[in-house]
Amino acid sequence: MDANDPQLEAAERILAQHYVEVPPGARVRVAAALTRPTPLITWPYAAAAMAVAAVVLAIRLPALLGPGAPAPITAPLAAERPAHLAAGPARAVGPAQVAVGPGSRAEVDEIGPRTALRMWQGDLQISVPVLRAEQSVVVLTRQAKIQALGAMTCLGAGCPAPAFTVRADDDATFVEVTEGEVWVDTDGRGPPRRVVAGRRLRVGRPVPPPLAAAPVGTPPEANWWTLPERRRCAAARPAPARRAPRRLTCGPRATS
Amino acid sequence: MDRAAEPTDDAPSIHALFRRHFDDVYRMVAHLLGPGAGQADVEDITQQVFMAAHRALPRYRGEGRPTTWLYGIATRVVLNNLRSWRRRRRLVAALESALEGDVAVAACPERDLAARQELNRVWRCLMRVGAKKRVVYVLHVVEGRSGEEIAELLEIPVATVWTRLHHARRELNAALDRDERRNA
Repeated sequence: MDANDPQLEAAERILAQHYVEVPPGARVRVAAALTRPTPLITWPYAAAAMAVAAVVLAIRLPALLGPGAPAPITAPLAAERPAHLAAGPARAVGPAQVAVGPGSRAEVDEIGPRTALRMWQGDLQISVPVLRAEQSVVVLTRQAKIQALGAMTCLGAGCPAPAFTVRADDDATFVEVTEGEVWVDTDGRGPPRRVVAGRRLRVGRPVPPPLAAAPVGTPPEANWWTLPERRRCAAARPAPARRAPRRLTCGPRATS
Repeated sequence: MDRAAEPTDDAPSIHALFRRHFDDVYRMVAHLLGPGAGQADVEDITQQVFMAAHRALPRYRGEGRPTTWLYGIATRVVLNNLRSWRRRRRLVAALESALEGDVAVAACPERDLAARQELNRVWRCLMRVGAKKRVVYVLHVVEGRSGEEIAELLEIPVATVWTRLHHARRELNAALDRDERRNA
């Protein structure tokens, strides 16, 4: 292959003209995660991991426990600050300091080819994909970020570590801010919305009603919230009444 | 990123690296990912580059220039990300559907559209070249880096750089031929 091939030469000329403009705001967005590396990276993403855990637990626990199970989790796992870890009931296990609700534990582990944040609530185990997990830094994959709350970013230098809770009510999931302010990007595409102390912002999809009670081993079609929307609607529609088999109108009839 | 974060000795701080080289790293990541990558993708990977640099900084003993060290990290982070088949499919799909959005914002729509179309066509073909070879090719052709520089960035022998470049050119030419035939 000769580099002087005219076709290739033309292609290389086109490629060389490709100029990338750094968009305004890109520097600030990337810097937000690096301004104070440990806390700023840890807590937004750990909170997003907690939110994923909360939603997954709220959805799956009733079905997994089967009929007669205790009431579903209404107060999901909340993200705490590191200072609370020693005093509170939450425990931090493993290299990533994540706090989960009382009686739960979490650790970062290698599952298959990818790192995952594993969490236990009783016997139930769930895992959230993690892009990086070293020391006290947990970074979720983009998909997990969007699934949870989108990227929560505290913008600006010297931003105080905000205190916030992800709470799932009966009909929706909220971010409640108790201290400072939180910038919430609900779909990962920005721009983020500012939520100040004392206010809350509705995020994510409504939490499905506590379904009761699909027994363990029920096929996935029986759990409507696990289906894509189109199939979920179809599943919710009543099945058409079965018609009686048609009778033939031609040909010899049986005589009775 | 305040003044207190300025480096005090020869070893650069992550703040100083970020302030001086953010634009270059951003551009390099964008070039390596191609025009199919969205702004969010480029920012995500740029952030990963600086996080990797932050973690690796204590092990950096000042051999070579800091920029070479940082660009080497950037290249390896991008290569790791390009290994994902899903990301590759998304980049190709974005190249296929990138035209509609550009027409409205272009100052001279027809000329810009034609240029963008050509760029996307070449990149579609380039995406058929293996990731390792493609990275070498982009570093040489788009970024204008020498073989020795690329060898240093990727920590491979110079001869390997030229071999990969040769194969990348051959594969790109074959892909362009196929594309030409299909359009004809």
